[in-house]
Amino acid sequence: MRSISRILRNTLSVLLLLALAAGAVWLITQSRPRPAPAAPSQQSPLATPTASRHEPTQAPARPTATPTEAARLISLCTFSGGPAPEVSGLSLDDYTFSEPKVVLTNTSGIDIAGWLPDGERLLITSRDPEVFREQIEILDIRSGDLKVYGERVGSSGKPVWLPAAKAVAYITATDQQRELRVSQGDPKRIELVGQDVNGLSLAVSPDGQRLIYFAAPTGGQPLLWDSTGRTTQAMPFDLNRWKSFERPANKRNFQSVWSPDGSQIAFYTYPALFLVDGRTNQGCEVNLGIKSEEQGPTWVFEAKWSPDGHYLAMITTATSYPGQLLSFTELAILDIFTGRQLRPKLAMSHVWDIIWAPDSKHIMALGQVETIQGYPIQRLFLVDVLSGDSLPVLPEHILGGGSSNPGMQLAWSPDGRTIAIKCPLLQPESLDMMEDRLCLIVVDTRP
Amino acid sequence: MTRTTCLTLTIVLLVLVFWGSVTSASAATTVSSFQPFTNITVKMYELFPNGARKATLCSPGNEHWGCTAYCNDYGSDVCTSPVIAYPFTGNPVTVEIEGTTVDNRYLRDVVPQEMGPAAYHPTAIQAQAIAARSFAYYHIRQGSSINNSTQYQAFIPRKYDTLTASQKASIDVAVQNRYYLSRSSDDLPILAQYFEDIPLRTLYGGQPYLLAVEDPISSHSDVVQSGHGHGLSQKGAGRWARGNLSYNINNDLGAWSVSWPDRFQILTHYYTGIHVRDAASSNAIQTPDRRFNVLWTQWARPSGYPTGLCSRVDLWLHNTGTTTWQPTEIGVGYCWGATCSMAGYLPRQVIPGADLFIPLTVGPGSGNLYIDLYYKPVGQGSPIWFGPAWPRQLIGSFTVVRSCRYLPAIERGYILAQ
Repeated sequence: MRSISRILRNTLSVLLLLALAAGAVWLITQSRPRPAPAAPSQQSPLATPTASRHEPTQAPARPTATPTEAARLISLCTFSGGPAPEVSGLSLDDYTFSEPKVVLTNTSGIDIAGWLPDGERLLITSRDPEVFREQIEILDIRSGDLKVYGERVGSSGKPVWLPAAKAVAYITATDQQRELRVSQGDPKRIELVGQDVNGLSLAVSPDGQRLIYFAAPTGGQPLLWDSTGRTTQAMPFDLNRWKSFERPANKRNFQSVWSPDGSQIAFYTYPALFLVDGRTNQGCEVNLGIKSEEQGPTWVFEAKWSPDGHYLAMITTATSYPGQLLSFTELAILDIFTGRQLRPKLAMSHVWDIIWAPDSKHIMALGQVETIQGYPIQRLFLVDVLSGDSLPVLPEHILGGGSSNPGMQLAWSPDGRTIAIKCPLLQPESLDMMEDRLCLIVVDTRP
Repeated sequence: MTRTTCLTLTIVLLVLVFWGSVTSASAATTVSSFQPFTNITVKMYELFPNGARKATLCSPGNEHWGCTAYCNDYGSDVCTSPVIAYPFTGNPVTVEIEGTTVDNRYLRDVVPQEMGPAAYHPTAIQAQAIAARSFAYYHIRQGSSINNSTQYQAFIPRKYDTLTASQKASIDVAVQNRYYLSRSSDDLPILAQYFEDIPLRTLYGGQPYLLAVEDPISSHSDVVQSGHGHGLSQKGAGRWARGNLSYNINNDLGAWSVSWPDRFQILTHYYTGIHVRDAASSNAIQTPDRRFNVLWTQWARPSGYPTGLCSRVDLWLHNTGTTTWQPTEIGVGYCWGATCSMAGYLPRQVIPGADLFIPLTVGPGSGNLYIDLYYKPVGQGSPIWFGPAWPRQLIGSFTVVRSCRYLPAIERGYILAQ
């Protein structure tokens, strides 16, 4: 009994000692000053909060959508792998570029919508210098002939060529709304295809037969116009229901771009990029991440598929609120098989235009390297997609600019032999445009 | 020379000397040499979404960004719907700086473009408005060929109309006084440059009022330089106004130890040795000569003392005034509520734009604790506190702080309470 009580007493004593020791440690800890900040002249005196940076999902194949968890949400894309990207047979040094040659002038403005598949004609827009109207034209670069396809008030996005219909589709503004029109070359016989059009985006299917656009009544549901049957139907999904957007509904204008093999359609707006399977209409969202907590979410300003459909090249930026001046734009390239996002560093503050080389391994980027009297000096860079290396092209020339609608400053011909680019003539002192010009650059590659 | 002539000459000389002294003394404060402008003429260009100009001038019917905020050439994150064309009949345009109507206003369209009220604190926007007005005055006076690009200030017609009612009210408040910035020596407007962001410290801009200043609130790892770094940091201003590591009112990156509720605190921080003047009131000076800002503070308990005993406040002070702080004249003190106590003289001289790190031991008290500075040449009587002519810096609200007398001297710092 005595031994039991001794054991008990000893145990209690040990416990008491432990409690006292713990209390002493606690008191000492509490009485210590809090960690002092760094010296004021140095770094942040406060702890840096963690900003969860979302890395793009890297997994194997074409994106597939897993079933949506809620009616208004869509899952992130998963990538199941696919063919490894082939290293280009051409290096940056293998390209040579001729001096730009002026092929068309206009005192008010010319913009380049793109090459026709024959590689001999260019779809352009040109402004009437007297009134604020724009003509949609096709320029034969061999003969210099211009054929007017349509005319519109102001400028309303990039017109597109519909190979199957041998026609040009374009958006134009009327008094209170925008219309989608199609012209086969007779300005007096313009077909009205859609009314109450939302946004300025037109995406043509690879077969050149169908056209995607948006209209106010259907909101985030893309409309598909078939040029053969002259029918329009709403696609069976609503992009606005795939994400909880912060912006007011009337500002959610999507842009779209169809992959060359028709398997994917990319839809993008602030701050979302969706990939939709062109056959099943299943969609998923690509996580572009946030640039930083202070700069806001990354979003796509412009996107273009590589000719082989392996990559989606994007001009991305980040803003925190609508209408904020873009402090940067940069090139990002999504590998559609792996989900990997490549971000080559270019010697420019703002990338304003990109085009793919026909080999799908190189991109020509046109962007702002400096400003003189508020005018952005743009230079051309040829970028190797896989290595991220870049090389200035015709560095002695200031190219692009002028009036320049977004994404309409340059185009690379389907055969890879010619680049059409804006090359306006500027007044030396004011840098105001004296004359807008369209130039051609002949591209050669060493075997 | 007769005696009368001599007397007359003496009187004339005295009058001249007196007149000269009166005029020279008042030149810096009352005689106005600058006539504030009411209109500004701006050459209008189509713009890139970063505010750089294109080569095309705006004309009636033009619906491009830069010519109108309700544009049709960019997506919904640049252009506002529905499309409404350029509101002017000519180019360049002359508009009222303080105007309110769509085709006759400048600042109301500039300020929300340069500092969006959707993200910036109202106090920062108020500072921005004064900087923007000063910048316009400066260039008009210089005879600059002003345009609507970010080469000067982004002036997008109809921008004000894109705002919500509360955002418009915020802009209206920001521009309501015709305040502008001048050097302390005259009333001429300064080149009030500003830029988006820079980490930790601004850069020297080639003018005595564009000195590089410490900006420790811009210390988050997300902060990257955007812009030239001279003068007011827009995001820095937003952070000071909020007292947060994020400029964005919708974002929280963590509280900073101080916030600045007064727009003049922000302006005098980024522009050294300047005055704010009122163009609507004969350019009257709105700011005192003696000013300070607290860049950072820490409430630190001395080692070994439990909660509620005596406390030390570490301070990072910035001389935002027009005069040098002399260690025999300027002291630092603390105020429990409206009751202030001197703590001691500064350890060294601090010129305008310079800063000083100093520990301060606070005496007993409770409630709101403020920091203030005072002017009291050695041997003179009562101190002249900077406040309330200049905002006292709130440190925090404390339940009780008791006597420091039992603290080891080393813990008290070299400024002892009372």
